[in-house]
Amino acid sequence: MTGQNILQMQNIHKAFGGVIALDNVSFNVKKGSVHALMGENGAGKSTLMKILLGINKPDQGTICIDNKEVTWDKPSDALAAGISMIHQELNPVPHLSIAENIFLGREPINKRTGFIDYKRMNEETSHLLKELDLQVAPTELVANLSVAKIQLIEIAKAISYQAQIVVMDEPTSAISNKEVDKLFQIIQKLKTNGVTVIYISHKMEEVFSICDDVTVLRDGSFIGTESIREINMNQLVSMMVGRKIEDVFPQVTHNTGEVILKANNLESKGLFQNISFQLKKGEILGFAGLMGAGRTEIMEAIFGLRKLDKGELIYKGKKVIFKHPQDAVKNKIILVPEDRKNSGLVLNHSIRQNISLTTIGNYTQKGLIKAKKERSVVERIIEKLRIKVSNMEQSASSLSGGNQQKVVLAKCLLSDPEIIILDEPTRGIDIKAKSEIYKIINELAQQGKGIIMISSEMPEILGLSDRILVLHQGQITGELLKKDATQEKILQLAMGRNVS
Amino acid sequence: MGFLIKKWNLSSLFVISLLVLLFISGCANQQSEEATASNKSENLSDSEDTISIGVSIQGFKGMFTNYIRAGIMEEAKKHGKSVNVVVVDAEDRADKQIGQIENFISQGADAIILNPVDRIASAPAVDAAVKAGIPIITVNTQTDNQSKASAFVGSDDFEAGKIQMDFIAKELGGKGNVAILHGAMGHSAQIGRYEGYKSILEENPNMQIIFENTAEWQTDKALSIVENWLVTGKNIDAIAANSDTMALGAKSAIDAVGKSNDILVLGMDAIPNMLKGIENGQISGTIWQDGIGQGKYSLDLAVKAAKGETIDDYLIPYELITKENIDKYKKMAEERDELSEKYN
Amino acid sequence: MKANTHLESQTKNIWSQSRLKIKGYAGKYGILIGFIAICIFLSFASPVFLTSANLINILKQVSIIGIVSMGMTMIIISGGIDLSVGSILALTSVVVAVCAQNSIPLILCILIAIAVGGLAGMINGYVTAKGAISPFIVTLGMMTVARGIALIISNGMPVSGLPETFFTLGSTVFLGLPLPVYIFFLMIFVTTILLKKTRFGRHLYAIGGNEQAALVSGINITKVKVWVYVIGGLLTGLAGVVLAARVGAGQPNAAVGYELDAIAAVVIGGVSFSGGIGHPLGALLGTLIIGVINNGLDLMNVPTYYQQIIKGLIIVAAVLLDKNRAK
Repeated sequence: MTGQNILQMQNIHKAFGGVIALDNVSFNVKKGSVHALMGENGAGKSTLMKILLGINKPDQGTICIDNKEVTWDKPSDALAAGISMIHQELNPVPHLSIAENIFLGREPINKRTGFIDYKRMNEETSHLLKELDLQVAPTELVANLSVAKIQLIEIAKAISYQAQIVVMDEPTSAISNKEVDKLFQIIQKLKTNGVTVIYISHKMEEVFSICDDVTVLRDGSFIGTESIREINMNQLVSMMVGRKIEDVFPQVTHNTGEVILKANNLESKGLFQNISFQLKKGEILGFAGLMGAGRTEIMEAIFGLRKLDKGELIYKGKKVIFKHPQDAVKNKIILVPEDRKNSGLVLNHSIRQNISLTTIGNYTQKGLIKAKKERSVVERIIEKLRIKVSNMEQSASSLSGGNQQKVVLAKCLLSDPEIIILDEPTRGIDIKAKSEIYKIINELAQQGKGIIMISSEMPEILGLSDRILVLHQGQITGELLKKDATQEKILQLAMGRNVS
Repeated sequence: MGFLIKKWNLSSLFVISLLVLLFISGCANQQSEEATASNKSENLSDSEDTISIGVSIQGFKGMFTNYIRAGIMEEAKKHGKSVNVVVVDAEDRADKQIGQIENFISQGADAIILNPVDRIASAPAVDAAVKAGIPIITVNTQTDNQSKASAFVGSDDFEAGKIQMDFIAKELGGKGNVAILHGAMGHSAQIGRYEGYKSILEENPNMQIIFENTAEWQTDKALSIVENWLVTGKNIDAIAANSDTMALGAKSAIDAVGKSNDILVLGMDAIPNMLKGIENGQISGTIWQDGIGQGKYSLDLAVKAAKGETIDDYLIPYELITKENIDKYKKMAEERDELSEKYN
Repeated sequence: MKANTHLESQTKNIWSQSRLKIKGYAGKYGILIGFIAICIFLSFASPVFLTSANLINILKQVSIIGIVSMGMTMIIISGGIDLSVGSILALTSVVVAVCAQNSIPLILCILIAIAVGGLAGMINGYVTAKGAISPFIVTLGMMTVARGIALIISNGMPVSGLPETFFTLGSTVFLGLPLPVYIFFLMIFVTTILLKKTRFGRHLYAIGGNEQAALVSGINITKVKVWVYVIGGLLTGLAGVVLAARVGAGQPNAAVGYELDAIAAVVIGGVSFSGGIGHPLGALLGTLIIGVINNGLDLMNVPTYYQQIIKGLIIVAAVLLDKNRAK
């Protein structure tokens, strides 16, 4: 069934106001295959997909579907030709039902009454859901569904357009491992039905387990298309970044000092219990576990965002309770939250305002902000963290994910913290930016800061942590030292099994 | 979240303060009850020997409606225990007013006094009373279906407009430029008074309206509007305002540009500050509308109707107040304001 | 190849920078252009529009709503709203008048009235922040409560018979401008400093821009929120004093609907309804636009009913112009 190319994008060239986004890129996809599209952020993946979907028009180059050349005037042309996309950031209407969401904008109308034909709509939806083995009623409100289910609903929606080609942009960025398995089953099923999937992801393991081919872009240029069976992870990474994987995780040893934070039997009903651990100065303490294991909630409770039902916290030898985040920050404990956009940044404010937010009081004289002092401090930290900005007055929303994360880090570091809690510090950012953030984290540890890092990415947790705590359903199931830790052991513990 | 417990404390605090407030207002209520014999009880008692009268006032916020209210209370006091009056606030909402009238009917009122919120929207209240066979007296404002009501007590806004403009016409010798400050547009008083102005202006072809705008009964708005008129440099001989509150704003603007002696200012309602101005010769005049009288007569008619006597409309004439007759009205105004304070 | 990309990235930078600049200017000055356009039109439509007497009138007339809109600017920037300003304005005008009537020293009367405004604001802020209730509801409640209290202490009547010194507050002219205009200018200055130059101001913007991020950054949200409503209340109290001085009486029924004028002025001035964005000078422009329209329509003696339509259309058009230029 595979073999013949369903999609051929040839010599695509696209520039935005003089900035070349795509330079002579070719992208061929075999019918019925799962084709990974990889590259760092800004490599041109999304521009290429926007051209495929008719959102942007190419300056040069041709698109052929089934060997027939096509041109799109508008996005609905591409949709009509059977190309649909599941965006990374899902935007369903929460208070409509599943069926209403799937048929949004093309609701079947009962010819006699002129009203929406709910019966038909729900029937067709339930047929679609059955196809995806989804055990939900078509009339269920989307607001009641998990992120993973919503993702699957989006897939159902894509299929309902009789799609031949489905583009999935980072589909697993917000769902748990179990749900990833489910997603993969569905992708397999789509494949057997002859649907072609273009799979955009940063996650190596996923690409190697589900994809047939991979195309790599870098800086708007085509680097190569390879069959997955004929390439290994290291080769793929060097195609993407132009250098070797060893550089990503610098091997550093940390000199750990005295215990700075001690947690005794922390508990929050229904979320976590019996959480005890110690953090030393200069140590990176990894928290591993599946999604929903309670890691974020523990950190929120320590930081004062959540109420603790039981347990005590001993910080620098003294018992402390943080009722509000401001108490924690005052005591030089900071949190870099998981959700950059919603909790880390004020997106429409400038980089300067974001970076100086926590410490603005330090740049005032007689209560008035000294703009010069603020700028020079911000400038220094931008330089130190190598944040790529043209101007510190640029809005935070204009930055790439990696640079946004660095802005959040910069803000936190200016407050000169002693403990830094990082929650998924590199989620959704590309490898190059990741390696830079890892470097920063290592430097911080070397300066003697205590670092707690929650991460769901195995290479990251294995590569950075001095010690790893693994959680399962709100309990610590094991502690591994760096030298003993392996991916398998962590997984076993994360699933609640004992490791011998 | 962490503040759940605090939230509860806050809401309990809120509930407690609400209870305290209720208690205080309850005390205030009691006081007024003592002063007005059997007024203000929650329900109309429908016993054989007392007459129950329900009163719905368009809004307790208005100054003039306060006079009407005071008049009703004062008149009720004369009857002692034999008349039970309940006064409610329609809060300027016609739908609420209709509901209040329906409640009076179901409580078995012997007569109803209606101070309509709106000419048209309050009309169903009259229908309801008529259907139930209960006499209903409208006060101050007529309803659209006025002919169905038992009687009307009030004054004619058309007449008020005429008196005011007629004075201006005479002072100006039948020619000149007049500016008009309207009350809230569409209000029955605004409409009636404007018609009155126009009828006089038609008789005096040499008088014209040079400016007109609504200041919505408000002093500061009138002040700004008249400032703007004056700066144009156009000649204004007189300003006719729908209310004293607006006339006072006009006066401030005129004084500020030193034209106090060139422009006549007339208002309506006879509020204390206005009367003081007339006494000093700073303001030309205002119109006396007898709110207390309207209240008194409406209750008088209601009692009569409840006893089965036949009643008729009662129109209280407007009276012009100028420097000549100010002493008489100053005294009346003092009595009026004392009464109003007593019952509010 | 490498040199090429370097050049490209450089042009990209310059391009995006200049684009940013243009966007910034248009965003800042679009509403100014709208304001100037209205003024040019009015100066043709009425010969007296540009006279100094008229311009002073306009400033005098907008000073009350202008002072209120400074507080509103801060509140809306913090992501809130205050519907109670009209009622608090009436309440404080009554309070200052009642105090003056009882021969309390003038300065004390003024301070008491401003304090009453601040207290009302504090209740607004405290219930909003601590109770986690929408400020729309809280201030709606305060709107009725404050009006009711104003009616109770004034017996529903305008409070007049104030001492002469009181009027001087409204009518003193210094260097050609009446005192209320100076008070207004001073409040613009104070608001600008508060918003742009203090830690409090910075926190205000952050809370309005992203409350969750502000919380995680260690900002004491409750404190900032309570304070912004307190400051809004103090400014409204001050405006109430100016109102009483201007009309020479405290009026319980005054300033009905002023909250909408203040909100309109602020939003016309480019302050984002969703919070986090805005400048007090923008709110000044918004206030002036409303004032100039009211003034111009009176000068031209436009019929009353049409005035309302024209006002609404001009306001929407001014904002539309701003939005289009900002794109």
